[in-house]
Amino acid sequence: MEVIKNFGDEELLQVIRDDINMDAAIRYLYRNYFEGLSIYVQQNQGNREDAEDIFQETIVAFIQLVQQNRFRGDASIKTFLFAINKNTWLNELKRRSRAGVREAIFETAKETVDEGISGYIAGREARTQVLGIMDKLGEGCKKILLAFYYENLSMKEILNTMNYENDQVLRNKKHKCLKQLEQLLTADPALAKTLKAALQYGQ
Amino acid sequence: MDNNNSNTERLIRYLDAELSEAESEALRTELANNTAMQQELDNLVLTKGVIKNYGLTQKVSGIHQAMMQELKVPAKPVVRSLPKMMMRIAAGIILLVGLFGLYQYFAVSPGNLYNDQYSDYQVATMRGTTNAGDIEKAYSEKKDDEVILLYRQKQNPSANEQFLAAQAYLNVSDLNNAIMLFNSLLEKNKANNTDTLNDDAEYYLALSYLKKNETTKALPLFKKIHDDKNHLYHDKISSWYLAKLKLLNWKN
Repeated sequence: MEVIKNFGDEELLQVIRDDINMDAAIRYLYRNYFEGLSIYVQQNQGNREDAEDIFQETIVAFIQLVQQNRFRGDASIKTFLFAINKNTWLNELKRRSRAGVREAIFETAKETVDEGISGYIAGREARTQVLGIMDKLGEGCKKILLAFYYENLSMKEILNTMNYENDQVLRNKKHKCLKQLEQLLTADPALAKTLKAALQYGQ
Repeated sequence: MDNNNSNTERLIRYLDAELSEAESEALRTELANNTAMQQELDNLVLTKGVIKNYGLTQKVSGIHQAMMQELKVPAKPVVRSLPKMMMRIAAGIILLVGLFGLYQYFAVSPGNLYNDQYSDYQVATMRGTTNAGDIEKAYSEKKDDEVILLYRQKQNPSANEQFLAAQAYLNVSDLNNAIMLFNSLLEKNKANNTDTLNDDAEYYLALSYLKKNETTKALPLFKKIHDDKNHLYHDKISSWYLAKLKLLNWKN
């Protein structure tokens, strides 16, 4: 039976920054904020499915912004999440239709967006394309890259779970996979530019 | 080509923080003077960011499904089959009847049933009386104590006088004497094959027993009155009243 973990704001931010117990932190965010945030989407031309999609985006954005130290703590986590959720949804509405009232709603609401996160949110569409690009990688490549760059496992740890002759062979494979992904991403300069702006990793 | 591969290798090792401090410093100097190399590093940094973003998205997506199950309150439409609905209605009725029965069980008491039924016996309704004597006069004036006193002084009281005395005893709640006189009147009627005030005596004797909470004696009398359509008080004893008497008898 799962023990439900509750967090104070500071503790939650620390857990996310340190990238430990992340599953519990994500579950906590769902339990405490999903229903409240989903109401906004459902009351503004969205349905339950939209609300779920937008909340997933919101959580991903929130975690990455915290890990990049771009959440300054000026507002509460709840307010910050609401801002991300709201602007992600308004961007989605803008994407769906650039005309009429929706455009007006977006343009009005955009003024309230924290400038520090607006670029990130605007890159939603580009990040959606990334999912397709990642799928073009072989399963082996995907597994190695995720293990090394997302799960922060060492080469030795990855070697224990995969069928490679030795550390050097695995290292070479990882380099090739990374280069392959880089080429897939940079094959579309517009996408690369948007992603760079969105993820802000080039700083 | 080899030089390119070598540069890429160094850039990836730099990205993975595997170069020594000296190697890193040398690379940074080189990057400042080599735009193509800096561009490649930027792309690799972006690629690393994309992988991290993808990993996190996958993690959130995996947790999302489980959380939706946990958070969703199933709003299933209530579809009930007819038999189930009938059973529910029947259960509701049984519950109501049960509650009503329970209420009656606790509410029923000798006092309640007595008050429901009792009304003053009116002298004017006396049948077969031609001359108003002193007992009857006192009774008409609601002087129960005087009725009792006069009755005790009578050497040979009539059936009417005995009946009024019994009524007076009942009114002052001297139930033993009231019962004794009503019973005596009934026995005399039986012995003499007469029926003077017989129905009245039966009815008020039953009420006397009831007031005394002797339901086992009151119940057969009330039942007799209820069953006898020719009885003078037949209409006053309904089946519902009889049922409440039975409930009281059972409760006792």
